[in-house]
Formats: sequence, structure tokens, C-alpha cells
Amino acid sequence: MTNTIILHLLRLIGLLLLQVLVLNHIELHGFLSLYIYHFFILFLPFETPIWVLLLSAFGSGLCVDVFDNTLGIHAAALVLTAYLRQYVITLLTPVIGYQSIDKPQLGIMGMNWFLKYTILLTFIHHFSVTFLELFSLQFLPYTLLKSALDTVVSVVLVLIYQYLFIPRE
Amino acid sequence: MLNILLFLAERYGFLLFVFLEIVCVWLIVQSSNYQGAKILNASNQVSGSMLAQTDKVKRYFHLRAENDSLVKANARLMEQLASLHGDLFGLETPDFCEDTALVLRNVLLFDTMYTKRQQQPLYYFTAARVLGNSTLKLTNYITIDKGTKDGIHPEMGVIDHNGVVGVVKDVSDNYAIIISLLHKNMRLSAKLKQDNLVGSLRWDMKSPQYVILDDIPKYEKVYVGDTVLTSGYSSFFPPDVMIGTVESWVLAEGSNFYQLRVKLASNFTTLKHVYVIEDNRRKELKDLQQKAQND
Repeated sequence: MTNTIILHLLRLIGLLLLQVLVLNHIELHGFLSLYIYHFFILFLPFETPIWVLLLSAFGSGLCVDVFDNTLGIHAAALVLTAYLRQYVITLLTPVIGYQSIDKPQLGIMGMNWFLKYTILLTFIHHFSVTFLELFSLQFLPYTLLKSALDTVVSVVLVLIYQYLFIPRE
Repeated sequence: MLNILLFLAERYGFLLFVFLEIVCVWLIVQSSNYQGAKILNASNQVSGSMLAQTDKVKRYFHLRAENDSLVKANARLMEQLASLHGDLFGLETPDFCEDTALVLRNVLLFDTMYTKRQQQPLYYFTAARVLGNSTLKLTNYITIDKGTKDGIHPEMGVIDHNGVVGVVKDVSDNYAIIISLLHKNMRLSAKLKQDNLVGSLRWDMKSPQYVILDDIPKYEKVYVGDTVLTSGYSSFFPPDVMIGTVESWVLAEGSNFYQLRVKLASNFTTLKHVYVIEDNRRKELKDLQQKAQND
């Protein structure tokens, strides 16, 4: 149990450092942004209590905000993502239901489930970040397009991450 | 009983969610006005020093390019110094100068840079290193390694050796945050060199290389390749600081104003050194404007 917590903490720190020190400075075609820090919330075990989810989302979002000078935006988006996570999980329940050994990982849940799960939550997150940044319905088509493209990039990154770092059974 | 407990457990998650979102919204609203910047500054001591550490590593890889650009900037300054010396010479010996117009021009030039009545330069420049910079968001900010201890305060203009970069937003003891020209709310008064037409400059929100100059009336003539300079109407920048060059223009159907696409002189993606401008008369000018508004 303690080991798992340490492992998740290390992952959180790693993802945050990668986000604020490397990915924030990478530019794709001038307007695409790379976000990966929200995957920490996505990869937490299914049985994680909601208060842990919400508070860690708030904390890590705030860290990214401080480095990005966007106080509150990333935190708000990540808290929303963390709250909606339980509904997405319920929505995607497999026919046989969740098993006790299931974890939200590619190797365990399979490509189909994993893609649906990450795409849905990543889009929710990216859309809220972009929307809060612009804060105007006038740019809605732009917001939708940007968050959709950002989602594609993020999902490619997370697939690479899953293949590289998660041992496959 | 179990159902009630489950119901309560669900509610408490929801309540916590609503509470955290309210805190976030409060933070967003607070940080968009000046008072709220205080929180941002306190935590930026931490993030600022961390950015400074990573910058130490990165600095090493850019030494050659940096040297080149500094040498170029130096050369240009020497040129300006030389030409100023020439002007100064003309001023001190007006008797030898037959051409009154030339003398007048020299006096004007002399007066804007350095006056005899007031023996101090009108503008001070503080050199600073760029610690953090972004160009890919819609609200881009730049972090520099100079703060209140170095005499930086909000609303000072920032340039690099090529042209305008932004305006100081918040300051802590050792660091300052600059609103980049690449910010969706940034507006700057600018003029075209050819006919001194003044317009309003804003970012095109797409590319880190282009801005848009509005409000040039359609009965005027605009030229592709014309230089865009600061107008000097705002107290942030001295007049005639380089911004960029006109690349193309459009005249929308039914519009009375041109939209000029301006290519920026500064390369925002590789900013390393910037200069923060202190206008010595800024306070005086501001007080006067305030007074005129109150009357």
C-alpha cells in the first residue's frame, strides 16, 4: 500500500517536472500545446477516494498554474476532470463489470477501453483549459478545434508512455 | 442505513468539487487585477528560482548565438553614438552651420535625448535575462531576473536589441513578469514611419511572428515594407522604437480602416536578453494626465 502511494507520488512529481520544464516550452505549429500532467489523475486506481482525487487534482493543477502564470485555470480544469472521472468510468463499464485487479492501464483494460477513457477525459480537460484561457463564446469553434487537436497529441504521448513505462503482463 | 451513507458520501464529493472550483474561479478573477498579483508573486519566488536553475543549464548551449547577437547590438550602439557625436558637434558650433534647417533638426534631436537644463538622460535601460517565456498560448508572459531591487516596477516598457517585447505586469523582489506582445489583450500605440500614421497594434493570436496594425484610415496610402515604430503616445516606450515591418495589408469590405499584417523585428521564440525602460518623466506625465482628467 505504502509502496503504491510512493510510486504514484513519484509519477506525479515526474509528470509535473516534465510538464513545466520541458513540454511548456515545446511548440507545435505555433498553437498546439502539449499537456500530460493530467494523466496522473487518469492513472490513479479505480478505488481511489474522491477527496484524494479532487485535492491532488487541485494541488497539481495549481503547480502548473504557478509556472504558467495562469493562476486557477489548470487547477479548475483538472478538478473538473477529476470529478467527472467516476462518471466516465461508470459509462465505460465492460460487459462483465470491473474486476478487483483492474487498473486504468492499457495492458490491463485493453486498447478499446483505454482509448475511449483517455480521449474522453483528455478532451474534457483540454477543452476547459482552452475555454478558461479565452473565456469567450466568440472563439468557440477555435476552442473546439484546438482542444480536439491537443487531445490527439496528448493521447499519442500517453500511448508512448504506456508502452515505455508500464510493464505488460 | 447503507443507502443514506452512500448518498452522503456522494454528496461530500460533490460539495468538495464545488468548493474547489469556487476557489479556482476566485483565483482566476483575483489574478486578473493588480491586487491579486500579490499571491502570484509570493509563489513565483519559488518558481522563479527554479526557472533560474534550469536556465543556468540551458544558457551554456546558446553562448555562441548570444555572443553574435550581443556583438551586433554593440555595433549598432557604436553607430548611434557616433552619429550622436556628430549631431552634438553641429549643435555646439551653430555658427559654422549655414543650413538653419539642419541646426533645428539637431536641436530637436539633442533635446529629446539629453538636455542641458536637465542633466540626466530621459530614459534608463536595465538589462535583464529571460528566465521563462512562452509563445504558444493565447496569454503569453515572460519572466525576467530583475525585480524591485533593481528598480523595476509595473507598466515599464521592455525591448530587446531588435525591437519591442512587452510591458512589465507584476514585480517581486528579484523577478518580474512581463506581458508579452503576444498576449490576446495587449494593445500598443504604433505608427508607420513613412507618413507618421498612428494606429493600434494587437497580436494576430496565431503566429509568434506577426501582429496586426488597425485604425489606419483608408484614404491614406500604406506601403508594403514600411517600418512600424512606437508612437510615443503611451508612457511605456520612447517614440521611434522598432516594432516590425509591414508585410501585407487588407481592406475589409465596408471598412474604413486598413488591417496591416506586421512582421515583428524581435524573435520571440529565442528571447534571451531584454532591456527594461525607465522613463524619468513618466510620473510627471501621469500626474499631469490625472490632473487634466479630474478637472
